[in-house]
Amino acid sequence: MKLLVVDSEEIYRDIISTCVESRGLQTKTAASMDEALALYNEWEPDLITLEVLSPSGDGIKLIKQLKDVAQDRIIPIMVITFKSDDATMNACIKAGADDFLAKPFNDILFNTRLSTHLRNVMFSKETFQKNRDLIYFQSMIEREHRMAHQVLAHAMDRSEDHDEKVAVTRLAATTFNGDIALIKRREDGALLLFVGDFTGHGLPASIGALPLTQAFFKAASDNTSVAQLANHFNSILIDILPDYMFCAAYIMLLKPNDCLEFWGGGMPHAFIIGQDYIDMEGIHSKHMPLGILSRDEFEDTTTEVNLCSGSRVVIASDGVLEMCNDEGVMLGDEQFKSILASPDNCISIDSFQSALIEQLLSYQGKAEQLDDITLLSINT
Amino acid sequence: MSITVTVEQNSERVGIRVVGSFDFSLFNDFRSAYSDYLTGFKELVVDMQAVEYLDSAALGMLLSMRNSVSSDTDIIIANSNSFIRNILMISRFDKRFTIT
Repeated sequence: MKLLVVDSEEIYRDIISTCVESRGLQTKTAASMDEALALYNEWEPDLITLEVLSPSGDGIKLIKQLKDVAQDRIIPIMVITFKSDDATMNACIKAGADDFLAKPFNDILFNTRLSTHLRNVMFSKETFQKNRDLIYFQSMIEREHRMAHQVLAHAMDRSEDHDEKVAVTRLAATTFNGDIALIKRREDGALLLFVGDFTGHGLPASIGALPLTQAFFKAASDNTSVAQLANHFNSILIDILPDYMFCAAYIMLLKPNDCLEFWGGGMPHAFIIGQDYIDMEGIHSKHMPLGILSRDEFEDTTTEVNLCSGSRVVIASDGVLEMCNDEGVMLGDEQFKSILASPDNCISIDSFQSALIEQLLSYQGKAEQLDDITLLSINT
Repeated sequence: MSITVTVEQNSERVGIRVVGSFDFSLFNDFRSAYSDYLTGFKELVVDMQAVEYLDSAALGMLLSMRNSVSSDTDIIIANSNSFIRNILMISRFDKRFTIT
């Protein structure tokens, strides 16, 4: 720590320097106001003692100048002066001085007050450094989230979001939350779908998405079964993800006869919307998410649901159900159900989806969207 | 502290109590909470009574714990509220943990 002693009298420069000798402070002295300013800029002291009485200029003006240069850094100024009347003290403190001692001063009192100021300086230095670190990490994370969005957008390029039977909407938040949705119509007319949610946020959450995407499109062209694809996805993720990461997912195959075969692990239940009912039991996860169980333990049993003609399936990511309105109230199952029930069932899947999104956004109001949102609707 | 660890006198049971939000911010603290008890214990109890929120990062941390701790040790996730129990059951954590 560096102490700058500003005093036109040599004797006081010596006294103060001697007082702090045992504290391990580096000390420099200035006899004039100009010298003080020069040293302040060059040497960047952490703490200053200052006699406002000086033949070389106005001490109070100097305090103001020093505080202006310091800006938001905390560099305490202790005024130690012969001119110890109330008016001077008031003027000094108003100008920005942090402490005021009358000469001749008591060295124990001086040291006690010095300790307090040093503590504040230490604290402010730490805070300053931590703030810089935080700003650095924050900008790094923001960059990573943008990168993750880009990686994912690239991965999902081949996904056929504009199928007559399916609509997918992704509303991206600033944080990438690991949502992914892939759709591909197979040559046999069946529709292969994958909706996944990787643990965590940002770039780490997107790591597993690239190999899964490749495997997905290969499976679509090879007519791989849902169970085989689940096994394959699990194998890929077991190998590349650390043990604290996984991917909750639905792998679905909608056959031309409206039979929906699915494997689900760790995802919230989906909604089946019929003419006059909304079913939340028919499609739910029965397994642990992908990337947890070893190849031997993995369970690939799938479920088949026969969808009535005219019904729809809606899969919503956590982000939808956890969406908050202006008052901070989460949407939740029941509210979402009422939104699902409102659009006319006969309209096209695109109009249905637009109506849902419009209602979700109106629920959200001016509240900030924290998570990415993925909403996938399927028509029979 | 958001995490407290207690070892019972007969030394067969270790309790780990998490308070508040169980999320990624506890990643290192949670790991160090159990790192001294990887083997030789009958039960590790993760007490969820004071957990208000749990995200998928926390599920990952529990899985990582399951992998690190000896398979002879039963890991019990205790006192979950219905919100947390629901999250645990959707991901079928009952396959790796005892959920009470």
